[in-house]
Amino acid sequence: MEVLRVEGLSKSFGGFEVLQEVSFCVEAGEEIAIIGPNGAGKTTLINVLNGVLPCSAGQIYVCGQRTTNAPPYRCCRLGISRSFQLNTLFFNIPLLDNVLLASQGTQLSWFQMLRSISQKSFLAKAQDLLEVVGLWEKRQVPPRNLSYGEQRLVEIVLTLASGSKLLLLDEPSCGLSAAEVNQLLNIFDKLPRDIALLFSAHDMGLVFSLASRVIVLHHGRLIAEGTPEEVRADSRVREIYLGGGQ
Amino acid sequence: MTGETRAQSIRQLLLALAPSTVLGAFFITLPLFAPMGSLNMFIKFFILAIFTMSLNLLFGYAGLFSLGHAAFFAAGAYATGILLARGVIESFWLVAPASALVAALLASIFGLIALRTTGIYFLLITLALGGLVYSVAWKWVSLTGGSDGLSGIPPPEFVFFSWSATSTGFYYFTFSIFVICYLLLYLITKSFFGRVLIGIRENELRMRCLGYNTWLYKYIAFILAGAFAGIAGVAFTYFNSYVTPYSAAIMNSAMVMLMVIIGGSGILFGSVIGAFLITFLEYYISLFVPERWPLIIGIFFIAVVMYARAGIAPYLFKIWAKVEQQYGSLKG
Amino acid sequence: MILFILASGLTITLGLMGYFNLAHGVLYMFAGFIGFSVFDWSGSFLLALLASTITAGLIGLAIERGFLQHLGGEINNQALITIGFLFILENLALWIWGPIPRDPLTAISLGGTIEVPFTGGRLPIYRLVVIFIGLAIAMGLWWFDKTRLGALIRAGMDDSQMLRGMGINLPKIQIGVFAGASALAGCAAIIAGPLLGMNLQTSFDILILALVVTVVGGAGSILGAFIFSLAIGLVSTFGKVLFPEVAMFIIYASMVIVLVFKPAGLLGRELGK
Repeated sequence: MEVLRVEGLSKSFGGFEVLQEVSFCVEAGEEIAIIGPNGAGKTTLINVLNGVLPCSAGQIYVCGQRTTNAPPYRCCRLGISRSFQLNTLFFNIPLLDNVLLASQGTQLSWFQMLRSISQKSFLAKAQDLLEVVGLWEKRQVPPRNLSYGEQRLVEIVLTLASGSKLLLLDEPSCGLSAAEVNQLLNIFDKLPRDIALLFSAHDMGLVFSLASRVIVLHHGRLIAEGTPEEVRADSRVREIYLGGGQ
Repeated sequence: MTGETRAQSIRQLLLALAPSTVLGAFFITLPLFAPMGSLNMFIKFFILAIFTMSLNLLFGYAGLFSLGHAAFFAAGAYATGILLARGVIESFWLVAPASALVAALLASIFGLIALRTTGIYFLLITLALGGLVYSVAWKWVSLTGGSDGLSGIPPPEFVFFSWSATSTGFYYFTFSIFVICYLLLYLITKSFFGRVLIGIRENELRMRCLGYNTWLYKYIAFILAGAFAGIAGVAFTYFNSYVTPYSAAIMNSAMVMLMVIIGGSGILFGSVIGAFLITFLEYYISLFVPERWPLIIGIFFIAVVMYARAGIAPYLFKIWAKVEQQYGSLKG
Repeated sequence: MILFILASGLTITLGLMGYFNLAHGVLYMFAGFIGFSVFDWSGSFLLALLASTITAGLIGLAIERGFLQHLGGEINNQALITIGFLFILENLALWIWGPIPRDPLTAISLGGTIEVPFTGGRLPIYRLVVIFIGLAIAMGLWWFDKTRLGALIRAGMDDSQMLRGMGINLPKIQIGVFAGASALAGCAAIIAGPLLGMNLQTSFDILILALVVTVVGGAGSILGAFIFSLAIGLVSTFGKVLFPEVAMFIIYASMVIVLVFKPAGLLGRELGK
């Protein structure tokens, strides 16, 4: 089943074209990496897919539904969640509340507005999520008192909590040590089979361990697509990453 | 549950309820030993507490810094005044809801305008909207009585009885309204809706990406805040038996914001503390040096913002938490 | 025109420094009172002008150094603190000078009228002087904006760390700007002296007008402040005569409309907050 379809997506800021005619598809359960040099448009692509930025042209379909230019909250309800490159957490409220808020964004009903936030079922789910990353003991700690690595894990957890079918991860391993990256890979391993991952990365190690398919962006254009090995062997890609990469 | 832990839970429950019971008992028995003058102060305190809590919902919980909140207070106050002074309606049961509705309606309109902006622009636009209401109150003389306001407003008529503003009956009247509003707002802030507002305050972008239609939540909070402010306005008019443009003045908006901050923004009970502190201070200072009141409050304002930005409530809560720890775990 | 002098001060502090000073209006009043007193005592207009300008500058300095500086740029707190100062200064003025409003200054040497050619009417010289001074200040500010100093200040607003890295003493400049803007307020007060007098309501009314001008014209835009203080001054004066009920309303409404559709003001820069 197709989780994401992008057709001819373009985005320009004034005269500056950041994305040009990007098209690709994502099937359920796939793990796809978006790579490209800095400025290639990876984060912009994620912002547009998520609804944070409107696109200038093209169409986006999430689980068959058109989400072109839909606001972020609608995109989320339709099945697409994202994480941020810079930790975007609720720094001053307890970790548990962070997760509770994150897990209930897509489960809303106006009749339930007056209930407590920590209803049993959501509490249990929050406990599951936090135990996977080993942070359940620290559930009353506000994220600003956690280490960077722990915050990054929380960032990913919040994205998982909505239960979306497609997770957009912007540089998920940014700033993490090797051990922490392993922890991250563990989490992804434990995810249900039908959840798709679309992540941008500079860390080629992560790309090769995680991705089944790779998309290469350069100056906003999709210049190569294929399995990690195919992309590694692609001459255009080698040109761009001459001497670079990992 | 074992006998021991059961006793402990009961103890903890009693401890948690203790402050409210003590306060409640205090307020209920107050008229027995306090002179009418200070009763008046408490009446004013109850009214202002409702006003402060309404802004706390908007600013403390949802994070929307509005300097025009007095507009809704005035809407409620003037609606009551106009309905009563013109002799259109007389029963409290009609006037009060109608006036609160007027305030809520105004909030629904202003919300549509103001929520298109954020940050400093929101501040400015709420300031301007408040100014609009003020100019209407001042200039539309045929409706609002202009700078003289409306006077000669009769006390609340409850169909079978009425209380003059200087009676103990009126004291219990405002106290009940205060308690009802407090409970309602407590429910709202502790509920899921309240938590969402906090999330919006802390990181609106994240909330949007998590599936929340943040604009709608902010809009509802705006209307609720306006409605409660309006209720405070209604009581205010009944209390004073007159209404003037001051109720819409920016000074009023600033004062209520001060009360929210001094008491502790983001904590509902903080607003009660803040309102009490200011009302209390104003009352006693006006006994000695009434002309210096703005000076003193200005200094106080600056001191709080500079050094105690979180307000008084957090400190009180910390102390209370220690007390609870000490006594809640005692055996036997 | 007086409005312009005052408003330009406000727009500068806001636009160039990112400081939101609600006490600007009361500075006008307070310094004005001081100036009036100096005039009473000395009989010299020039001395009064100097006194009020300097006092305003000093008070502004004190506010900025002692308080605003420590707040870390959070607009909400700035608004609150400057409101606090508004209360304080207003009450102090009441305490010191009493509640009776002051009549316009009668500076004999500046009186007199001249004949306006073509229309045969008579214009007081002083009004011309005011217009002239306003224009002079406008040009001065505009020129200043174009100078290196002006560019530095604007750069400082956008990225203060960079400037500090370049070894430029930003805090000193910021002090200067804030003090200067405040001084403008005091200056405006005395220049207005012969025309308007001074009373307690003034601090607030004038603040609102200056704020509206700043918002509509755009924070940081001298040109905007210039055009709109004229516009709003006109609306205010004529409005009070022609349609008194609606004048105030229109002024506030225009502020709302601009904020909704073009928050940066019609000619100003984005505040980015």
